[in-house]
Amino acid sequence: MSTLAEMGTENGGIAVEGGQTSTSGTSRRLTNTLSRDVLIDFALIAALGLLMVIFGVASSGKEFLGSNIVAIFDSGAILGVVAVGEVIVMIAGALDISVGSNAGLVTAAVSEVMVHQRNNLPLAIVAGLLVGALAGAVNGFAVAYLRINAVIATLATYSAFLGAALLVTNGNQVGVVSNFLATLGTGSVASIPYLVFILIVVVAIAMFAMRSTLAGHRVYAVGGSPTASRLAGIRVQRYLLAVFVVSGLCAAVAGVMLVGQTGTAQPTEGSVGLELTAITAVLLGGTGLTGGTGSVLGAVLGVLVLSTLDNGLLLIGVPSFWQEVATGGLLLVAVLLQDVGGHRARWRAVRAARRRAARSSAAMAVRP
Amino acid sequence: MSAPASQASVTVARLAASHLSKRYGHVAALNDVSVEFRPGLTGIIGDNGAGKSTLLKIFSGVEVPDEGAVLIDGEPVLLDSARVARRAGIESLYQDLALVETMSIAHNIFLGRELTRRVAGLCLVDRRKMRQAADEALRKVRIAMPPSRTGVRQLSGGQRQAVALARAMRFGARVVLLDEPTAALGPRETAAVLGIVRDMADRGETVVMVGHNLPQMLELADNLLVMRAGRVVATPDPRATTLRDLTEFMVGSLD
Repeated sequence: MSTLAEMGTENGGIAVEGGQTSTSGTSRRLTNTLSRDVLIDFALIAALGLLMVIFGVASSGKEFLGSNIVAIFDSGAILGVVAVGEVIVMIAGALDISVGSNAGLVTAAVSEVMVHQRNNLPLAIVAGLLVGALAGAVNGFAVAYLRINAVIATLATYSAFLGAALLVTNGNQVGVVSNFLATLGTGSVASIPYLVFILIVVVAIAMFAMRSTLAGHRVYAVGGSPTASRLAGIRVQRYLLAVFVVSGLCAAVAGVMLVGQTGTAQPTEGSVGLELTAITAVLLGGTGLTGGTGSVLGAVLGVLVLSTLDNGLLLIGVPSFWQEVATGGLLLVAVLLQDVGGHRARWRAVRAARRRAARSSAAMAVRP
Repeated sequence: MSAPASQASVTVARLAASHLSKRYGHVAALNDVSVEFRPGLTGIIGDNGAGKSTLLKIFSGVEVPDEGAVLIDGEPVLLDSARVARRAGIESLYQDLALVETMSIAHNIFLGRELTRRVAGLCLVDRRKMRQAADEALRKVRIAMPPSRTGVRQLSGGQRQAVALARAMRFGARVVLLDEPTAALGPRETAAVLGIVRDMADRGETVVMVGHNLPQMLELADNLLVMRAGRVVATPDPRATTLRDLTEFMVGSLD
């Protein structure tokens, strides 16, 4: 065992039992310092760069770079905002399947207020955000206080919100007349779309909240172990409720962005299906389904990888059906790669055990 | 029940219980139990189902008794959640350890009591301060530990117990409750963890430990509490008791 003096230093051995070689100790320490999240972020950035180079070359570089990169961000902005809410829920160890239809419900709410309140835009936006947050609170209450499994609860509200949106709009697309929203949804400054600015603001707030604030820190704790958190005196149920409200609020912001982009209430088009793409992006970004790990930045990088893939395949003329196949394949490869360390460690342990077994049986054989 | 002979009741016990009863359906897990815990190490022994864990769960706020009361410094208190018990200075180490695997040692030591700083009205976690304080706390345990930013997932069973013990020590708990802290450990780690426990008791802290290893308990504990079928049946002096006596207390007459 190490001496007392050694314990406090960086050189203190990791295992009590000793017998650990210095090389494996060093590599383990390296993965400690460069946390898994950071490694995944780097890998995603590298993947993004690689995709851009491939598509740039394949489309002979003309169209891809420049304005097209802006288009990638633009098409990913709404999805990105939804993914930010989703990743926070998933870090807390839950899942929100209702975000897409929640966004659709918000577009319906916005259009309804616009039509009936003489185009009172501020009121419409506030109403939309309230509806989204309230829908999130319904999810959170069901999961945290009624203790319904998150997948089941939000699958139920997924239907319910979609149905409510269709009821409000009578199943029609309702036009929303607002210059401000139209500018917000389609305009840009210095060739950067306003929607991208909204994404940046949402991401910045979420990254700060999850990394630096006590609330964000405890969301990680609650996701990592609800039991340990509760025994440590953390009010787990409140945190669960809160992450669903945040997710609902993000869906609401996405809904308002969608109204701006399309000029209509969209109970189905453009909103339904967002949840699965958002979950895909979050998983690509290294956040697991078991909670306690992952990052907002990873989720956003995941969104950008997906948008780049879609955009690039379209640009080089690959049929859109193949885009879906590519997305699925990418997700599988990414999740496998993220667990490569785990697979290798298990494999090494098995090999070592086999060697030990072989040695001890050999020793038995020479015994008289 | 009278106070242990070695610590005549000159002061009020830090933690005590009077006439606790707890039933689960038709099973009486605790039946009119009154105990007092004083500074030093009190060992609780008893057969499976004797009520040891139920007693600890009541003190740690996980279970609420059907009858009777928990007393802190002689005052009755209602411990109706782990949160309340911890606030009252009762620190529990659970069998399953209650650590967050995905977090670092430092963040586990400060779980639920994070060090924070206020910036522009926002409550921000102070990771640096937590790391430094955690490294400090780890130096007081006898087990070799990696730096406190290491993930708990990478620790051995003994190191995990050391983290939990460091957490209990760091916050100056009034009473530390240990439920079989060495059940999952190898001999070396067991010795190290028991060393930490003994250190705490020697510093005058009130430590209560449930255990199955009778020779170990005889050697280590200052006071003993033997439970059988939901009752406290004996409080022998460990220095004047044999293994055979203990076994007899636990299961009834051996003849």
